[in-house]
Parts: sequence; C-alpha cells; structure tokens
Amino acid sequence: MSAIETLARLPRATLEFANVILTTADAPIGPSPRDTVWTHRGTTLYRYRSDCREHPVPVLLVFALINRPEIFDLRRGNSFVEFLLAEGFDVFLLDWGVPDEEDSQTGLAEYVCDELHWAVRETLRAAGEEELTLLGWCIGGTLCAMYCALHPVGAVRNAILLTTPIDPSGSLYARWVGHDDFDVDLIAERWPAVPGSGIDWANKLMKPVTNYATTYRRLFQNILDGADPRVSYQAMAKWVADNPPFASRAYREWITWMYKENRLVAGRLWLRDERVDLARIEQNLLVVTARADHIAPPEGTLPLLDLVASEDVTHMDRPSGHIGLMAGSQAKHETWPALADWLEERSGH
Amino acid sequence: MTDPNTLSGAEQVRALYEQAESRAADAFEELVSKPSFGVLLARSAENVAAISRISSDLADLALRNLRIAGRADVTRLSRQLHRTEDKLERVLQEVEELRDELVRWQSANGSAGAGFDTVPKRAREAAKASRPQAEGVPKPTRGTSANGPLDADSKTEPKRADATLANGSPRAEPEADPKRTRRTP
Repeated sequence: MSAIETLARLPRATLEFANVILTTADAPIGPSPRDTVWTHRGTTLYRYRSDCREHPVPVLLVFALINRPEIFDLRRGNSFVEFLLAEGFDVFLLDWGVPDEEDSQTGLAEYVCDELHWAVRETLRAAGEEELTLLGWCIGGTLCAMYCALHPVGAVRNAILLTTPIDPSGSLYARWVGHDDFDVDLIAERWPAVPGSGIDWANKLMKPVTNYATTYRRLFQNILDGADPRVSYQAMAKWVADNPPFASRAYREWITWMYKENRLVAGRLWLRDERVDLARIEQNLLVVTARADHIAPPEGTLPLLDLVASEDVTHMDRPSGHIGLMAGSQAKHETWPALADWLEERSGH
Repeated sequence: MTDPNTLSGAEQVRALYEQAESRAADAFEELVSKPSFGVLLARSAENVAAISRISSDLADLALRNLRIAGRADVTRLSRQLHRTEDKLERVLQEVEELRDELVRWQSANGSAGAGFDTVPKRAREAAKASRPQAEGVPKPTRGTSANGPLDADSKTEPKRADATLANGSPRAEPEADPKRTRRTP
C-alpha cells in the first residue's frame, strides 16, 4: 500500500476504529441456548440444549472467579461449548455469578464445599448419571483440583485442568502479592467485594504495553489494511472488560493460601476441617498448560503431575497464552479436538 | 527478515514503530517484575481501598441521616436473604433425597404411584436402613459460614442412585421436572 493510499484510507479507518471501540459493549457473547438447572445465591448451573447427546458422562465447565464464564461460549463459530455439543457431549456450565458486599463472607470453602459440591449433585441429577467430567480453567481449575482431592472416589470420573495455578510461588503474581508489604487483610477488610476492575488492571499491568497499546494498534492496523476484525475483537474485548468483584474472604484466602503461604502444593490447605491433599486425586486427569502463559505459567501447574495418585494422567502443553489456549484462533483446530479426543475415550458407560 | 531497502516509506515507519513498541514492552515487563514495583503496587492498592472505604462510609452516613436505605442496609437485607436461601436449599435437597428413597422403596416392593402419605413410617425406616451405602457422591453440607461451622461428617454422602435408571425405565428429562423448574429464578 502506498503512502498516498494509506493517507486516503486513514479517515475511514479512524471512524471504523472508533466505532468498533465504542460499540464493543453491544457485542453479543454467550450465544448458545441454555436452560437454568439450579440456582443458589448468585451461583447458577446451566445446561446447554442439544439434540445429539451421545456420550453419557456429562461435562461440567467451571471458570475462574475473576472473569465471566462466557469465554467458554464466546461467539458463534468460535465457541468451545458449541464444539462440545457438536461432538455429542452433554454440557453444563457453572456460573459463580457476580458477588457483592453481601457475599463478603463467601470463602474458598463455600465455593468448593457448597457451590461446586451442589452443582455436581445437580448436574448428576439433571443428566441422570452417576459420574461426570469436571473441566476447570484458571482458578476454576484449582477449585476443581481441591474438589477432586476432597472427593477422590465417586462423582467425578474425569478432571481436566486448564492453565491452573497449583504452585504459583515463582509467578509474577507471587512477586506482587506474596511479600509482607502487600497487606491482603487490609484490602479485604476495606473492600467487602474487591473490585474486579482493580484485579483486571493488575492483570493487564503484567504486560502493560501489550495490553494498553499493542492491542489497539493492531486493531487499527487491521482495519487500515482492509480486514474486518470487528466480530472477533468485540467479543473478546467485551469479555475481558467484564470483571466481577472477588468476594473479600475468598480473595484473602486465595492470596494468603496460594501466594503468601503456598499451602495447596504443600498439602497444608484445609477446607471445613478436611485437608486438601492433592495426592488423593484419583480421577482420570488431563492437565493442559500454555507455554506463553504469564498469569498461570506452566511451572506453577506441573508439580501437580507428580503429586496425584491418578493412574491415568495426561499432560498437554500448547504454545499459546492463558486465554488464547481456549479462545485463540488456533484453539478450535488444535486444543479443542485434543480435549474432545481425550474426553471421548473416557466418557462411555 | 525483510530487507529494509525494499520497503516503502510507510512500511519502514511501521517497522520502526513496531520495533520501538516491542522494546518498550520488554522494558516495561522487566520494570513490573521488580520487587520494588510490587511494593509500589501494594501501597497504591491500600490507598485506593482506604479512599474508597472512606467515601463509601460518608455517602452511607449521609443517606442514613436522611432516612434513606444505604448500601449497608441493602447488604444486611441481602445477607438475611442468603441465610434463608441456604436453609431452603438444604430442605430441598433433603426432600429430593427422600423422594429418591421413596422411589427406590416402591421399586423394591413392586408398588407404584404411592405418595409420601401412603408409605407406612416403619416401611420408610426399613427402606432407609437397607439403603446401600456408597461414598463420594455429593451431599448437602450442613451450614455455611453465615450459619456457623459445618459438620465434619457431612463431606460424604450415600450415593444418589437414580432409581428410574437402576430399574431400566426411561430417564426423566430435567427440563420437564417441575421441581427443577420451580427452583429457577
């Protein structure tokens, strides 16, 4: 493209760029039709509609506490839920909801021992099955690992953990919040619900130039070059900007137990008088790490492989980032089919 | 790598900008990974939390003095609702388990269509006593943090056997279950 041609396109590209940014909040995400199966407080269990459920063992998707679970079902044609349904799986989604000040006393024990526990129960009842697959991502994966450790035999047949922090001692987060200068108690006391925007800001600060400049520069460049990134950009940007607050007790426990004291991997984490011992995990286990993940780097997940008692353990390592692993352009060609293949072998009667 | 001599002026500018951006990204990532940046972040977070709390308290105080419900009142009411919902959830789970037991009991005794009222108490107790004990299937826990400590023995639960499946009859679709739909918001 010549300089004159570029200059001629500039006004239109600028207008288009502004329009894409300003209308991001209107982009539809989470398009797959679903039914509400169960609710408790802010937590909701959804079941996605399907007329081709071939595999009897249902899949329960569990996402992190700091973003919304719509990333599993981002947009039509690029939805993990849509893919699983097409592969014949019975798909459920656990939505933690949006905590507020009244949820300040909700801790990790409530998430694992109540909400997740009951969601598993309701999933089994709704599907009419006795076993399911737990698929957890990020903090959701850690909560699933805790649940599997507390219930090694029974409801959970398979566990899939995606970019899951298990031993985050070497991570950038640990450097930020793991030291004594970061007074997590003060933060948790002053904010009954720690604002999601603050956590999102911290996440973006890990790669400040990439998140605050490169993303927008690339978007503008694509528009200037004549591409149409509106649909893909808006869906992802809308999801990224939707940050629910972190219930203060859960936040305090998460930071203290995981980053300050590193209790989980050391086997010193207790929930409701029961020790969360990862060595008790016996489920078929698939651990997926992303090489370019700066939020939950692979080194923080891999210790799990040596701890668990499962006889069936698989590890997949992908050359993507924390979110790109499942929502990137290559995910539906590489990661999703690999997950489905692994699941299919373990989802029969 | 593309030869810079073959690039047009605009492309050269673009390449230079991308190079500068890449270097800036590396420099900033190195900066934020320093321990001192962690301390700076910690102090900033504490200050923002303090300012936020003070302004929130002031606003709440003003509203309460005007006899208007403030955030604290809404939070208190919401917590009461949560406690009620917790109790309701546990009651519903108990009812579901009793219903499952009844279906199992009916299947085991060859009766059908009987409701709760028609099952003799002794028979229910006998059915309960003979219920197979399996482990690892979710059970409603006793209490939440809002209601005090939980029972340690509530971690495991007798396995929820799906009686209709166990007896080979068709599986009920959950959407059609009035108990499930009743509980949706």
